[in-house]
Order: sequence, then structure tokens, then C-alpha cells
Amino acid sequence: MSAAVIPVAQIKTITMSIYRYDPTVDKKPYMQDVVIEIPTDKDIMVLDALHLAKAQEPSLSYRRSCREGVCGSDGMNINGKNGLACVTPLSDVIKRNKITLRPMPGLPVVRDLIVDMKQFFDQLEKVKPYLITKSDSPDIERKQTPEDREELDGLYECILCGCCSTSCPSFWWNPDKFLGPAALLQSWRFIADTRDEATEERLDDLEDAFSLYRCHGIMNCVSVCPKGLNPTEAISNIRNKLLTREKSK
Amino acid sequence: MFSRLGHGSKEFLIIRACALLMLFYTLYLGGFVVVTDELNFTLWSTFFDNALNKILTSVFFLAFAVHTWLGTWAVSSDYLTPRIFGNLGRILNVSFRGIVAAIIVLILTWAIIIIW
Repeated sequence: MSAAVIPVAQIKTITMSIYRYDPTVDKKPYMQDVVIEIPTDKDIMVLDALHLAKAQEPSLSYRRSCREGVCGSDGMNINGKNGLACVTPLSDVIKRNKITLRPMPGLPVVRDLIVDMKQFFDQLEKVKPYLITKSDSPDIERKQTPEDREELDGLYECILCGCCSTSCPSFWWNPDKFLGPAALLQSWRFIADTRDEATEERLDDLEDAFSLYRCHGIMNCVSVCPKGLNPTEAISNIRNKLLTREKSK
Repeated sequence: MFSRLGHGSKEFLIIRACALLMLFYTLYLGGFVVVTDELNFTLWSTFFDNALNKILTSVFFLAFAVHTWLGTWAVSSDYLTPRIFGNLGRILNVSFRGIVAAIIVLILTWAIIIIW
């Protein structure tokens, strides 16, 4: 089957300025301009444009998997703002026929647009992102009322892409001490879960001056979350719980 | 009430309580300036001779000292760290804290001497 030929009038060229760094070859990172041709009769996603760039520069490296905003692999800095390349329309971000792509800030670069997410997942691990129960297991399952289940809406949808934490200055400065918005959203997800029985321990773990209290509420996390979640609100909920739990006892 | 609060929660509350104290005092002093027709040295001096105003002014400077100390600690533990400046980070941090402490003690001592 022959490939469809796109009429010349329906093609335009754009420049992709892409962060390049291969620690085995390059002494320091640099920006590379790659000119690609894109169709004008339909919109494409930034990830599609990256594929076109990679066709020209096969050594260009980036993560991607589901290409539909579910796996969270292709988080990157697009024109200065973190986002998922697969669900960001090119038309939303392109300026003067140019787009700039960099790796998510604050984490070590492995190569090109790929960052080392270890620090991010280390912080997630600290909040114990799973149900902790102490009572005997019921015969079938631990039940929730529909109202209790609704409390988890806006929390469980996080895909751990890292866009929020890597756009947070507090996480940049203290990535080993401040848990970051993604981990704190998950922390609240389990504190708010009526089936969880370790709320006090979870709150005790957040009482230090860094883990949670380094959040200054600048809401970069909310601004960049590709799933439209609100980590700042979750952090605020935890803080209120910390400050009022004396009364509830 | 605060017995169960950890380090972070206590600092969070103290910083905000100090900020509120300073705000109320500023409004109080500002109110005095606004409602006084012709402010002169005698009125100003009489205002600060009042024992209650001496106490309130002292509380203001105490709140300023605590607020500044905790606030600048947060700033320095973000920006003046070994993570950003390498080996120099710790020296910069300790130096900055020392300078801030000296300035706070100086202002506090000066204020107490003037007020009392």
C-alpha cells in the first residue's frame, strides 16, 4: 500500500528546539534545532511532532508508551511549562512556528528528555501509598458508602507523571526532604480513605518542617497537572488535619 | 492544645501568629497617627510613655524577631544549601544565619532600650 501524499499547500515547517544531552558523548547539554514538516489541515500532538523530529535525529531520546495521557511516561517541559507531550496539542503551545522542549526540571537528566525519576518515587514511597488496616479482614471486602468513595475523586486519578513535583520550587531545592505535590496528593488520598486505619501514623510522619510544610501554596502543581488535579488543596487538607487533630481526640 | 503538634505545625502557627500580632500593632499605631490631629513630639512621647503601649510595642518587636528568625531560616534552608553551592553551602548558610541573628539581637536590644 502506498503512503498517502500530502499536498504541498497543506504542509508547513516548524522548528523544534530540543534539549540534547548524552553524558557518554557530550561534555554539557545543548539545544538542537530540528525543522520538521507538519500538516496544516489537522492538529497533531507534541509527541507526534517529536516522532517526526526523531525520524530526522534517530539518537533523540524520550519516554513514551500509551500516547493517550494514561501512563504518564512523556512528561516534559514544553515551552517552559511541564505537561504530557501526548495530550498537548501542538497548536496550543507553538509560538512563531517554534516550540522548545526540555526535560522536566529538578531531576537528573539521564539522556535528552529522559530524567531519572528515582527521587520522585523515593518520596512517593515515604507516604506508604497503599491501604493500611489493623482490624481483622472482613469475609468479603472492606466496604465504603458511595459518599465516602466520592471523597477519593480527584485523588486516585494521579498517573505519577511527575509534572507537578518537578514544577515545584520547593521540590527543586529540597527534593530529598520535601515530599512534593504528587506524593502529598497520594498521602491525602489514603488519609481521606475511610478504610485506612493508619491516619495518625501518616500524620505523624508529616509533622516535620520539610515533608509537607515546605509547600508555600504557589500552585504551580495545579497549573501543570495534565489530569486537572489539585495537589495544593490536598496539601491544605492534610495541614488542616494536622493542626486540628488535637481537638478531635 | 499544642502538645501534639510537631515541629512543622508549631512553626507554621508561630509564624502566622507573629504576623497577626505585627499587623494588629501596625493598625493600632496607624490608627493613633490617623486620629491625632496635629502629631507632635509631645503627643508621640506621651503615647509611648503609656505602660500598655510600651508592652504592646515590645510584643511587636518580639514578634518581629521570631517571625524574621523562622522566615529567614526557611529561605536559607531553600537557597543556601550544599545541594546548590556544594561545600560552600554550609558555610554560606551558617554565615547568613549568624548575620540574621546579630541583626535581630541588635534591633531587639535597641528597641527595648528605647521603649523602656
